[in-house]
Amino acid sequence: MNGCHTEPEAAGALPLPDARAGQLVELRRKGETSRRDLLAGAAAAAATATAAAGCDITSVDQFLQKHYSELTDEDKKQIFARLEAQVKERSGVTVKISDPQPIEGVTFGYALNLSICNGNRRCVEACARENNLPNHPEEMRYIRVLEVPNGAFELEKSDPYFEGEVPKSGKYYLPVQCHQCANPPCVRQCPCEATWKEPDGLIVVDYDWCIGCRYCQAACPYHARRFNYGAPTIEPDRINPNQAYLSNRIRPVGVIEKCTFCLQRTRVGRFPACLEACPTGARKFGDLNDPNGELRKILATKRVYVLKEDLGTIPHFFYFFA
Amino acid sequence: MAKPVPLALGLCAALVAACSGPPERKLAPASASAHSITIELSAEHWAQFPCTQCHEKGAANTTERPLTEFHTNTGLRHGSVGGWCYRCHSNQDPDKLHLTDGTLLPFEKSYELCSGCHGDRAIDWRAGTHGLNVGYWNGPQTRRTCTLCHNPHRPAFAPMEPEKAPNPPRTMAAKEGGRR
Repeated sequence: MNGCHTEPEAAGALPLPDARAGQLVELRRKGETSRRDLLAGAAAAAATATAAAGCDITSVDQFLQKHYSELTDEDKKQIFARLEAQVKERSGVTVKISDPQPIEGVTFGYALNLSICNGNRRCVEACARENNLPNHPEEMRYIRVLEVPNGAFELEKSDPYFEGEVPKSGKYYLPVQCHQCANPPCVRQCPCEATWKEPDGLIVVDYDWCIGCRYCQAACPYHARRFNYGAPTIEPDRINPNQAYLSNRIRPVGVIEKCTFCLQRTRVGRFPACLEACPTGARKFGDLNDPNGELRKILATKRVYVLKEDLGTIPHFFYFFA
Repeated sequence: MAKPVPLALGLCAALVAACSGPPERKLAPASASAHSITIELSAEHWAQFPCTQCHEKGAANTTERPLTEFHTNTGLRHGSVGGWCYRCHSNQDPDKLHLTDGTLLPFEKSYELCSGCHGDRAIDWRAGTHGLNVGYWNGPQTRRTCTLCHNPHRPAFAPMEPEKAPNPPRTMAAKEGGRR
């Protein structure tokens, strides 16, 4: 419920400190306790129990934090302040956590020109910096650039680990990231509603609500979700201080994360970081609802290809040839 | 870009000689949804401009020949139909380019010259579907002129070194007898 993950033996039975547990049982017998009291007790106990497991829980408030959809502005203010203080304490960097809301009437879409993408991975690096992706050996990157033999559509023939000068002859390059599906299989799989589709089509994760079961990761046909196997390790000079609660704030260990089309940028009108980093101009981003926008022009006039269209996921991410 | 595409011969530097900062020019909005669009010009190779420092108006030898003294590193490789400096550069006024009909064109309008042959790309560029636009998807955009990404003398993108490859998952490394 809280994004904290302990060793199985610790999580299996919630060990209440004897005195507090006895007190709670007593109160409950008398009918004088509320659910909150009980949870608060459990939270305090869990905090004690999980501290040894190196978990992030620091307060009862954090343990009792509600689902994103139930947070009031006041709640958000407090949570953001707590998260900001956490980063300040751990890495000495002052960050600003915001919560930009979807723009009414906008559905975000992305189009990528496969004719000119040359597999240079500048987008991957820009994304990592913008979204505070860790640098440890378990490093994750939201964008995987696949090197595919010409004429092949089978992704199992592709290689994401290619090295050396690009483009290589006889290959084409297929960058894959979250497709922000209109019919997202990942969202259906989540047992605790920690991931959902926003009105502007973006699929987001409440990192404080994710239990880390990774069902969504298994469900995603685009291999777009990443799991935090380790604690976040980002050099302080790599931390991007412009953070949003649902996107690039520094994630705790044990939760799922993914590309959000840089909602901390795109919801205030800017282009995503991967687009601006592309030296070939292969990436196009915009509002699918705008009939005069670049995306609608591409969809209307270019040869457009949707990855794994047969799965019925209805991606908002298109590949085109021009 | 790891290395900026080298832009030779001060193409697009015309404006810069006249004003201080990088020059900015506005185009008519490319579409109804577009807000203000700024065309970003090359800020490199200002030193060689104006060309009239060396070239007198109408005095050049326009015969195609190997250059041995000046502009030797241009590496001209543009188009399969041949052509030389004066297909694009004007001999009549070395500080200008010229269209195929002889109309003189300042360097900052070089995209008009490119459009002459690359019409399909030009249409896409004006529509915003070709080229690198940065800034705001719903607000002011900076659109790069052709020669900021493509070296006009060698317009094909040179091969480049990619960023670091991702680490393979540990399971995969273990399978291959690697670290664990």
